[in-house]
Amino acid sequence: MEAKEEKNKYSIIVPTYNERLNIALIVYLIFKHLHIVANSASATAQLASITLHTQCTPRSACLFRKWKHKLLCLGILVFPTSFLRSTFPVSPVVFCFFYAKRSSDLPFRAHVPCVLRNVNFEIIVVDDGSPDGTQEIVKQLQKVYGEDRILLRPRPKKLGLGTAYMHGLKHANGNFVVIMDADLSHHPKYLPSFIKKQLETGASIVTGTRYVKGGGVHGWNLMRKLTSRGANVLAQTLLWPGVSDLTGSFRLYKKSVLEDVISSCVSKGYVFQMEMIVRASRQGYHIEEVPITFVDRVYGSSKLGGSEIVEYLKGLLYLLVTT
Amino acid sequence: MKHIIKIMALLVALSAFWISLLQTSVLPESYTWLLPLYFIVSLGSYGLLMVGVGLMRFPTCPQEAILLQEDIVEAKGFLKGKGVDVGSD
Repeated sequence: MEAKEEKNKYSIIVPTYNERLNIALIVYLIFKHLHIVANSASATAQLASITLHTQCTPRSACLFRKWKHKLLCLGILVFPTSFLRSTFPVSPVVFCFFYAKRSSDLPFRAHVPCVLRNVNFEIIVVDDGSPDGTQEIVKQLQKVYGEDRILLRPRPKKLGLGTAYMHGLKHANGNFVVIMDADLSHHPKYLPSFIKKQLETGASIVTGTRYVKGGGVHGWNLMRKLTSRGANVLAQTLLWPGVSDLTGSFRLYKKSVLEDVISSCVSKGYVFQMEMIVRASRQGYHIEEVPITFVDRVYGSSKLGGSEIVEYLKGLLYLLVTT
Repeated sequence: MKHIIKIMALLVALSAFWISLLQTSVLPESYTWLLPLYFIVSLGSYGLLMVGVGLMRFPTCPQEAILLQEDIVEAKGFLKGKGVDVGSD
């Protein structure tokens, strides 16, 4: 299945710190999955090596989404819906109207390779003064792929994720912005499904979710899964956000929407990601979800200490009161 | 409308309903006094149940780690050929 050629440019912002090897791998994988030139001999070879699971669904019913948003504002059916939708294996009949439009919840999926040709994109690497030579590697990559495709926009030192996004946004030339992590936990092979979802539904934000069927996590032990699940249920109960994965940072935004949302966010770290998606949801932007897989860092699993849990709860309370 | 106001409105509506139950004595008074407690307890246990169910059905993808390693090998091979330094960090 192929998508129509669209005159859209996608700026992929990748904040890095000490990702000397991973940034090169990520750039290669982005080019592998996005840079498929139509009618070329190498295209068939490229297609053969790409197998993607995608949600190739018909255009979702905007009418239901509009009415769901209206009812959300009145707070009438949100509590049961988001509680149940995110947690029940089978949704009660009365909510299936609003349930069916979430294509990521459909039980049957077409395993069709999703290929986009002639995608116009650029990669913006925002490096925070890495001491391991990440910027030299990016310069070598620029020689291979071209300076118009890979933009290196470094900063003198570690200044935070939110400011990294704002810095990258200033240099972005596209009308869409993709943000992703540089540690290979986000695989670029899902980029075509993000783009395709946005083209199908006209959404302002497409966010990757690890918690639905078709997505998944690898490398988490039981405690980590438990805290993640508990945090998710708590956030769904308190905030009614309308998305299943709040802390995920693999997202596609319309550039204007990102500029609007990012200016009103003040948190740091992963609470920042939560704040962005909750604020966007409150302002009524059309948000769609795509299942993604998340392979956690191979070298030493990231520990979730007590201080991070406290920070998360404080962030939840802050969002509860101020959004 | 801020979210906290929505939640407050919901709580106020529930309290009004409970007080009206107390006043009109539709149910026995001792039972009505305990209704909020029952509500909180059932909400809490529903939440715990959902955490447990979600934990059991947590989606995992062990094959993705293998695919990722294959992708890394392929990428390293290509980039080495193009002169990019892909020594391990």
